[in-house]
Amino acid sequence: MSNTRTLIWYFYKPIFLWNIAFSIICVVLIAIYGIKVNGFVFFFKLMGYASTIFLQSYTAKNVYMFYRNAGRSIVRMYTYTYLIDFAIYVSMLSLYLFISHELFKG
Amino acid sequence: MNYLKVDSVQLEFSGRKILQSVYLNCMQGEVVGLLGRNGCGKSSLLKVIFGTLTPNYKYVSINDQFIHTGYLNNRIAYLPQHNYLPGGIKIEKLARVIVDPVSWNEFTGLPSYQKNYNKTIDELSGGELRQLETMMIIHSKADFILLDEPFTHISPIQADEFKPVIRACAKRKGIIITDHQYYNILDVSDKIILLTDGCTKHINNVEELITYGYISGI
Repeated sequence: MSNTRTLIWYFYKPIFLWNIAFSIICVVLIAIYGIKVNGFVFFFKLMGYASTIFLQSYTAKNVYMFYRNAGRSIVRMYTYTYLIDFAIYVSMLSLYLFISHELFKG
Repeated sequence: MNYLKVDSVQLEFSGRKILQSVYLNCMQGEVVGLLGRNGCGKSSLLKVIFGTLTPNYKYVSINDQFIHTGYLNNRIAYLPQHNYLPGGIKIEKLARVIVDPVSWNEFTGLPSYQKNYNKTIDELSGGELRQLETMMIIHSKADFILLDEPFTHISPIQADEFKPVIRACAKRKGIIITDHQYYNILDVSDKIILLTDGCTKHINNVEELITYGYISGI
């Protein structure tokens, strides 16, 4: 299990900033246009994931063999990584909505 | 004792048949040398066994149990021709997730590891990196090891250092190895298989390599 956590971190590390950037843009879009654009924002976030796979396939495909030799499938590595990233995104959005609600109340 | 069996692999690219009548088996404790000309399908066969290349048909089994994807659950490890270690992470940390804890002391005793364990791949020369990558695969948790051109990009003295390590590893694992430096393969292998015209030929003596046109003389 600790190996899986380590491998997920190694896998997530090079794509972390790219995906966090997409998350920040998504939160900013909701801050500007409101929750009514959440459908578009969700689509935009999915585009971030698709672009990550595309970029990784071109720039770091050789590295996939490291994870396979550790006994893990690449589909599973992406699934774990994106679940964690999406949880981070939901936390950022919740934090923003909570803060903006508190400010509005004040 | 574990044994890997590969049978009836059929692979074609754009209508061109690459592999059509392939049979090989590898027992734990055995090194199988796979020889063949450029483009004959050696690397493709290793990828089919490993599970990263899907052929039209294959039968790969370990102890008669069909294996769809060889690398899952550390059944089979594969040294590709290209570098595979991710950048920005120290060699020691990468080794800890690949190397079998049982072989850890043996692995960390290697001069190439002791010299470079605290470095990232960007700080290593091509030869040093290749040597470390090969050693990590050899000492991995997998029961069967596939080595695709381990003697390429390394110096002759490094190649000579590899051979005893491969032989020692073969006491615990089954190894399938391919390289164009056929004399190194002949040195290290228990049996030789030649891949020609998409078929495997089991070679009993070196003269047969001349008969099949793989080498011109000894």
